[in-house]
Amino acid sequence: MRGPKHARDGIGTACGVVAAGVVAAFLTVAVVLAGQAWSAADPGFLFDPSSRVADRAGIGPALTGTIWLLALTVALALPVGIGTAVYLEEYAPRTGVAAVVGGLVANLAGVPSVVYGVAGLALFARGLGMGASLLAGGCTLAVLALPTVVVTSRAAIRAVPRGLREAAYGLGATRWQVVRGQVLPAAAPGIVTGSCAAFTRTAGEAAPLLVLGAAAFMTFAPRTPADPLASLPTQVFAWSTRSQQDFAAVAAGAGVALLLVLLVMNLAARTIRGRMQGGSA
Amino acid sequence: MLLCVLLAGCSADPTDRGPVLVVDGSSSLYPLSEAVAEDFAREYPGSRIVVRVSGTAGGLRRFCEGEVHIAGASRPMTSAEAARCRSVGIDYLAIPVVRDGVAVVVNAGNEAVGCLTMHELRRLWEPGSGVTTWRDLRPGLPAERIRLFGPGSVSGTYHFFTSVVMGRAGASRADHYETENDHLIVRGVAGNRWSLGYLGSAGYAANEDPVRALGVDTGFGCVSPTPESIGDGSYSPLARDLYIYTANLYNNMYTYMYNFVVHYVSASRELAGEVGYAPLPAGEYERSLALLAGAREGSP
Repeated sequence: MRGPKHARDGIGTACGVVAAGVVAAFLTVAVVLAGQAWSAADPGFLFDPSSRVADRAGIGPALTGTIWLLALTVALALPVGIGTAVYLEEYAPRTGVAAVVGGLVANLAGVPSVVYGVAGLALFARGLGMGASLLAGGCTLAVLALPTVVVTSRAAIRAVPRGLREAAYGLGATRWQVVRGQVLPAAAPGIVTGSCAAFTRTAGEAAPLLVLGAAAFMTFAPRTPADPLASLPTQVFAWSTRSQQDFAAVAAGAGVALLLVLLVMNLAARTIRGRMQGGSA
Repeated sequence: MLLCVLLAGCSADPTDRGPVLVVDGSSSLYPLSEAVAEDFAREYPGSRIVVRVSGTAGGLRRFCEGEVHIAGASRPMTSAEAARCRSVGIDYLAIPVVRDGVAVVVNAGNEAVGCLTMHELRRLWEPGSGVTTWRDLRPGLPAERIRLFGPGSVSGTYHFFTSVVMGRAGASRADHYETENDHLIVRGVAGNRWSLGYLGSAGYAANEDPVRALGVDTGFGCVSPTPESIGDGSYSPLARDLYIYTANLYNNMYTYMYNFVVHYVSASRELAGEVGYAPLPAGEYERSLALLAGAREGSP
């Protein structure tokens, strides 16, 4: 009796230490970034374009670009991803096409992001004539986020108790009424959490955007999706490859801005999820 | 993905808010293009200019596909590139803007060598070179392994260096570390006492890492790459002009682009030093401006 319980305590302690380590590592990264970024902090930093002089360099176009990209990615990937998940879980027969599609989608989630960049260049930038625009970037990132959105949404839908569906069917509801009225509201918190993870990841992607042709420097903040592609991760990349030491601080500042954007997105998602859970209870 | 197609269909024509001017091409010219665009935008607020870096070959390809209005190039267009450009009806002007020297750099801690002859450079970099240590290169130097760093094969600097030193573009040994990023070449050389690399002088000048440029001896004594020796031609033959290619001279973007190109040419003389290049010899800029003005006169 003593042995296993002891072991379990040991594992508990070990997990605690690891968890504390992860938190400490994250805090260290945040503090180091903030410390480095401190010298770049002034109001103009958020609005100005980049510059050859580190003191004058700002993240205006890059920050606007990243917000555009995030909005486009969510707007494109969320409806398509949830739709696919609903179809695969609720409508499609368990065998045949659905099984094949489901397997393919799950595998797509593991494809390196730069591959999506090459596909996006051929399909969106060249094929559909979008050029190196925010729209081409948003579409590419949406395709990149899609497999994760589908996989996590499917898991959330599958976790909805069977009894809920059967009760609704028993009252004479159609399949769509069951999906809309019962399954989706119950699955929504899981879908939001999983999708958030996907969009956080795509918002930090530089590689596919560099393949599409992201701007290294631009004089204006993009105002429509047809404007040239700029983003915080590619701006960080452009600055960190410069030889002047001062740009390390500016790059760190852009990193902090990216963290804040993602924090705001996650808080918004949390609020939405909280509302949904409150409503369904 | 249908959504993407639909959105593409209704995305607005970008020319209705003033055209976006796209500058692309050589990483060697990026610092200059960035400086010119920055100053131009300060002078003309509301200018919409984008600068990208795709390398000389990548920039010229996009230029000939009409995606790019101004392409920076660290070598003249090849005949194949020119033919492709002409086949799609893109008219272009090549304008030299600054002079760059290719610097051969070693670690600052390497005091054994101060100068290399062209013959030694050739023996070191030729395909299948048997030189692995400094002693192989010149008796009397330490028997330490030379770690080599250089630009990759899509780079104009690679093209230029190999054609000057080996006599044939692209002829190079392949057992060295290749990167398009000048900063990584410098970092690599700074990280090992017995390493050697070559890169454009701007990448070398901008650096604070401990590397030192070697002099090159072409038979008339040792000459180090400095803005003066590069500008006046004494650091030849490892000095070359960098160009911009401009296109679309006859469409509605013309005035805007013309102003930008004129600004580019006039500002290059001043900015050359700031970004690590040498200005062209006196008279060159005036010649280019006259050429541009002539091209404008000739347009309908």
